[in-house]
Amino acid sequence: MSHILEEYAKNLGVLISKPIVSEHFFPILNKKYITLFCENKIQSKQYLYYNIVIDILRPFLNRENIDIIQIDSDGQVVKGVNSSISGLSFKQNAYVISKAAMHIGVDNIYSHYASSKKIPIVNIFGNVYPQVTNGYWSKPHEKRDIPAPWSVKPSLNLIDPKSEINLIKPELIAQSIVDLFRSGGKINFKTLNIGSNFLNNILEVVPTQFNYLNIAKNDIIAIRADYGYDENVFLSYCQNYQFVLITDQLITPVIFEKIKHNCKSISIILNSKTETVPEELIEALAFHKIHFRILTEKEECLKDIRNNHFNVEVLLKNNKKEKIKTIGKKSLFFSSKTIIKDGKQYLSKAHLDANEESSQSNKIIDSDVFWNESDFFYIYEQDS
Amino acid sequence: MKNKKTILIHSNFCRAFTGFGKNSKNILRYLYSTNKYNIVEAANGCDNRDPNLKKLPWDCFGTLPLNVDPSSMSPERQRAAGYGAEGIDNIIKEVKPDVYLGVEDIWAFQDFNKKPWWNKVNCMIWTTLDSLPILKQAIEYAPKIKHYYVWASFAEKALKKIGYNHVQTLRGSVDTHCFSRLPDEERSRLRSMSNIDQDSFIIGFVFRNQLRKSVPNILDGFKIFKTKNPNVKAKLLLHTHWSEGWDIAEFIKEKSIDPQDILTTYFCNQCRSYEVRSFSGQEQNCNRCRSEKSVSTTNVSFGVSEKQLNEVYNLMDLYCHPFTSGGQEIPIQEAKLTELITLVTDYSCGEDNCTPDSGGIPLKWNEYREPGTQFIKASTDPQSIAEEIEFVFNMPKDEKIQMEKKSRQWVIDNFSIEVIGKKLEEIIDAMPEINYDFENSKVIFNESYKPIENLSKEELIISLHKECVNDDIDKNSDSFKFWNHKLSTNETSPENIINHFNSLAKHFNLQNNQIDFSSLFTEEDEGKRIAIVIPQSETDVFLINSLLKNLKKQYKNHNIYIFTQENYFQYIEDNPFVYKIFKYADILENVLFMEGAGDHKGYFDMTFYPAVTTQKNICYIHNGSNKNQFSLSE
Repeated sequence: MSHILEEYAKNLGVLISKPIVSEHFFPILNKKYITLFCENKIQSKQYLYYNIVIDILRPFLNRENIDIIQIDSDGQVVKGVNSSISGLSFKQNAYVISKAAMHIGVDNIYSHYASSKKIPIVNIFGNVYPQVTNGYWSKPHEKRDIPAPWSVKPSLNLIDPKSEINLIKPELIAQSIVDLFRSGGKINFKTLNIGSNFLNNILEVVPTQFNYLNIAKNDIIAIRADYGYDENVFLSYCQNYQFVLITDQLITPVIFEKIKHNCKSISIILNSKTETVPEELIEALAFHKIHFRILTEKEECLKDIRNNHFNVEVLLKNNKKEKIKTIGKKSLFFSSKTIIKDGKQYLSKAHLDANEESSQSNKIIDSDVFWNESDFFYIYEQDS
Repeated sequence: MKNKKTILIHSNFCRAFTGFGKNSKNILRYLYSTNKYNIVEAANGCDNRDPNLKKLPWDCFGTLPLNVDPSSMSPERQRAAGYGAEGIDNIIKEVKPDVYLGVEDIWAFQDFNKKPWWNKVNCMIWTTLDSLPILKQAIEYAPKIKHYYVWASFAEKALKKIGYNHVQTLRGSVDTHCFSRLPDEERSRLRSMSNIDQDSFIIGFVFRNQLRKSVPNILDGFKIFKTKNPNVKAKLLLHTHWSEGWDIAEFIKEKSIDPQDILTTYFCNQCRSYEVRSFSGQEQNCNRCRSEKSVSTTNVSFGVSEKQLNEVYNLMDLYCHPFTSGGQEIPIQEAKLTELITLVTDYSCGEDNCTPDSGGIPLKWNEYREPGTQFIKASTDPQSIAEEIEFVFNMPKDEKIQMEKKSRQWVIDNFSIEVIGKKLEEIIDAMPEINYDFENSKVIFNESYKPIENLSKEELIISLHKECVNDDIDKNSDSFKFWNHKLSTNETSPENIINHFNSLAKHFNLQNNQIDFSSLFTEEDEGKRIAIVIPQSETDVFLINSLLKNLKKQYKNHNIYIFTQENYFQYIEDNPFVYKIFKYADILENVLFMEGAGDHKGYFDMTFYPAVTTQKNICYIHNGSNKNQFSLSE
């Protein structure tokens, strides 16, 4: 094993002892707790599904009376933790870790500290092999090392363009925690696929019938005029909510005057090299600081549309996605997308087309339209 | 079929709102639309994480280095990195261009001639120069740049005068579609909107309020004109920000000019509307959208759009641009495009813009020298400004219209994207394709170069520069003059110069710096100091913390010094075996400096660099597979 600490020991020509740190007291009221550190500065170590880990673990945690305290949260609190603390010095965090029943996080100063204090650790590794930087002082039964399933090798960099740490399945982390507590429990959850946009919640409305939406004042809705359109309904949504608009029709100056107030961005779908958006509309959008972009479904038109509309962002609306092959009859999905049409809610465009409301079903629909939106889905299996 | 040439254009990012950025956008779009070349952009001020780089019709690379904390760089390195000095080599390596076109201030290309690809690729520099005598750097680089273009003809003339006949003028491109004369009814409506009388005579000046724009001079000239022509309803429109540079309001008071005669452009940062009126302070409330404190004079953060600026030009009857010196002064061309006669200081790039052909009229000026640089700068004669205003005011209408039309056409003929783009095409097409058979490797300076015998002293100096330090110089270069003088006056011998250049090459290869920091230590522990240098990271410092007990056990009489970043002190400061902790500095990486060699006794008995194999050169990982045959645990 080529642990980094051994490298240092060889360099200095001495044996490894223990680090010496004076912990600083910090009051913690929880009796039994796990410390969780969620990295938010180093991209290749950012794990985004701790909330699902906690969700899966919740029955176990409740049964064992274990709380989760997120340390050094820096204002970004993981959903489901019992409490979070930030702004502490390293020596205060060291104290909090030293009293924990377990520590969860990536390889960093906190995991090494927990190891030096013989606190059990569940370590996940996004950019480096566990062998070189896991908890050196922990015995095998005191730690679980979970490397990302790298497609080739870890990036060994602060940046991992593929963000492969997020390929670690939440149930694997949850099971490791349960195992380390030696409770003998089995996690009932199997991740099949996590879409890359799953963490971005989106509310889409189709402007065919107006419904009041139960959303916060500053929430932004996406109006899908390309899915259906009634001018009066469209205007009602535009006047009542802040919105982004996706449309396959050009907007007239009269309509624009009516909708500009709440508009955050407009995406117009163009599928021809010769089709152009009037300069006046682009100027008006810029004048009102409304973000504007053009989408095209035709890759062969992309570069020319870009040169014709140089001052506008032009992107490929590449919706074609592969079907997830591992799905079975028991497969379900979470969706970060909600589509509202005619007062009904749907989890996907496929469900909208099939008129299957979200209250009725979170089963997958095996169709191209469904898979094209799979970036927004978390697909899993769970025994009932 | 002949391959398309690959053209790498290195300048400000094409979406940057700077003169270079706009020029970059214009020529990139033009060259792309010819469909003759593979176009690639190297964008200064951006790094490759910037998603905007991926949304262009062509490939675009940011030139800023990744994973380097700018605060860890010296100011000089930061500046060079900002101009792409650190990123350009990798871009060249990846793109393999046939043509490298650098469009920046000349100092951006410092030491580019020492790069392995320089002049092996077709290298073209297209730069702005603004004063005489020509900047020394621009002269120094002249022999090093095969394809050397300047934005204004005065610079070409000056460089040719000292023998650089290969230098040519290629003006910065201007998008001629944005600016035009509006119909008379529209111009009349715009005046009404701004409460400007239809019979007022508006003299305009559009500028960033910098000290090189001659604001006192234009105010003096305007006052002379007003005094001489009291019945003319003349107004001076200064489209600029009044809270930077010159204190214009104070000048108006000092020169006893009626403040109502001086107009400016106000802009609301909320509703983005503008109005032209006399100055009455900043952060005013907007009458149009009712926002509070949103209205100030137009400025770089919140300013008028190009369409609005065109309207501002259309309020004017005459454009006047007095300045000390400048690279191109784009507002002059914009004004001409709106069919305004332009009064321009007859110096620097102004020389091109004040000729009869250009629809311009020259303004006389007096020379002064800029402190420090000693550059010639122009102080525009206020009397000349007044006379030329009067001349245009009294000009017969037909003659005026004819000159105004000429003004616009001259810009279209000389600055339009199509014209400049076409010239660039011709330049590029005349360049040969490149075989990438040279190695894009680090330049090694020749430490043992011995010139052939019988070289003249001039040839000797030039060859030593070329061979030892990879520098193309000629008789105009400072270094040439220096060594030539030494040899001519027998102050030194050719052998000494050869030895000097060999040493210089060695020095460049080593890049050694020495900093004396002996004051940090006392004599008490001399010969018994151990240094551990840990530049990065918190985890490393913490892990090394666990080795100090045994290190001290091994070297009982030595003191352990830790060198790391200040914010990492907390991870090791409690360890009782640490004697002192100091802040890390680059010089500590030189082990001979730390431990001593030759006559230098050094500062430490032992210096350890544990991070050399983990952070600096990651060579310990071995895919996590290797094993030690011995135990390293206590």
